[in-house]
Amino acid sequence: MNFELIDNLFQVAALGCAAAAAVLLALRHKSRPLLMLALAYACFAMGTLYFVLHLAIIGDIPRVFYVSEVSWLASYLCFLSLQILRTETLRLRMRPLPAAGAALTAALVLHFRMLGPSILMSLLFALTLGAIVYLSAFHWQRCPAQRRTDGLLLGCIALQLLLFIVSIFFSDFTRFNLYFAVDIALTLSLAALLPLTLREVTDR
Amino acid sequence: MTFIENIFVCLALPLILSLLFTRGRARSFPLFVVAGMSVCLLSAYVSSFFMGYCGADARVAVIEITPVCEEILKLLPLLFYLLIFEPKPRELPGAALAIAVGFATFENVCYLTENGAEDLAFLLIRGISAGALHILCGVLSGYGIAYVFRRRWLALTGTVGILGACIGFHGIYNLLITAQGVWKTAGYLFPSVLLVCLLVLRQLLPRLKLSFA
Repeated sequence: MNFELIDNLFQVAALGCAAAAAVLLALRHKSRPLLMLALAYACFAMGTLYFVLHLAIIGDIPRVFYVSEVSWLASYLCFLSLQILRTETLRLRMRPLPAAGAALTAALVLHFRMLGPSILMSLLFALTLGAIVYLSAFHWQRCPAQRRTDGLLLGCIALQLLLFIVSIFFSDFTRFNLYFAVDIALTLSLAALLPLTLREVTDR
Repeated sequence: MTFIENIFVCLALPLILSLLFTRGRARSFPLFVVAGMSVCLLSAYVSSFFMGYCGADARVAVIEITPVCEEILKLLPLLFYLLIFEPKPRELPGAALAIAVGFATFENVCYLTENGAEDLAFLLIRGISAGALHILCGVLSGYGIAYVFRRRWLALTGTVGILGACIGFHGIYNLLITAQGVWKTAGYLFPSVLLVCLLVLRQLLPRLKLSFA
């Protein structure tokens, strides 16, 4: 069986389960951050599901328009919304280290035309990832007690960037290679955000 | 050739005329239904434009272009209502649902005109699944936007996030129903199954003393 299919099905299953669990926990704890996390997981899983169904039904990846890419972008916008909710009690200021991290992230996205080839999609993705990196690094500096969640989210962004960069060096996606190792690590890291967010919610 | 503008006039005119004899909140439902129909008409034009621009055939257009155009255009009247008339958050889901109902109705009528109305069993399945899909997207956008529009930056990121979720969901449905065999059956079934799950959850939550504040 094509390993791309296995990897994508694993991602859909893992993030689908995480989304269902996040919805139930959000209802139980009446928590907005958990609900936003559930939507982020659902968007990511739907983007991958569309991609894998296209591969299974049509026999090729989508090449004309951007349904999967819009879903993945939406997922990161939901992660950004989660960070907005987490930092709403803080007074945001310009800090050099988070700003440098955000600028570097945006530059990498634009340089490798991630989610492209449309420049609009790459630009939106650069802004979204840059904003997540800025808020995560800012929150990391200001709230030492909640550093694990910020660190993991920064790790997820790094893995997402690495995934796009690694994909340039591979053309055969039928067998296991470094690309799939990074993708599986990204899936597990995204899923690991749920217990950390839950801990923050219960601690409050 | 299907003259969708003529169909639109025939369907929308009675609803518009009814506005002359209704007052208050009773007016809003037909108004949003007409808005949904107008958006459906507009999305046909926009999708056709992108189809020509990208050099895509009808199948690729249905799978890749239509979900993006339809969901973006469906959100516009809701955002217009929200930003101009500033309704209370609890009024948004009703408006989103009425837009979705108008959209699904007009789409089904166009489908009937193009393909005939002989096969009642198939039309029933198609009507339920397409209706369920648009209603689910309406529920997500209505409740979701009412939820995220309480804070400035969250409104921006949350709205685009919800739009992306609707596009992904619609894309998966269109991809499945254009396939054959078990994929097609799954495509027709999954929006209805999700709608039933949503209804069960809605009934169950108050009994379990769970709510979302």
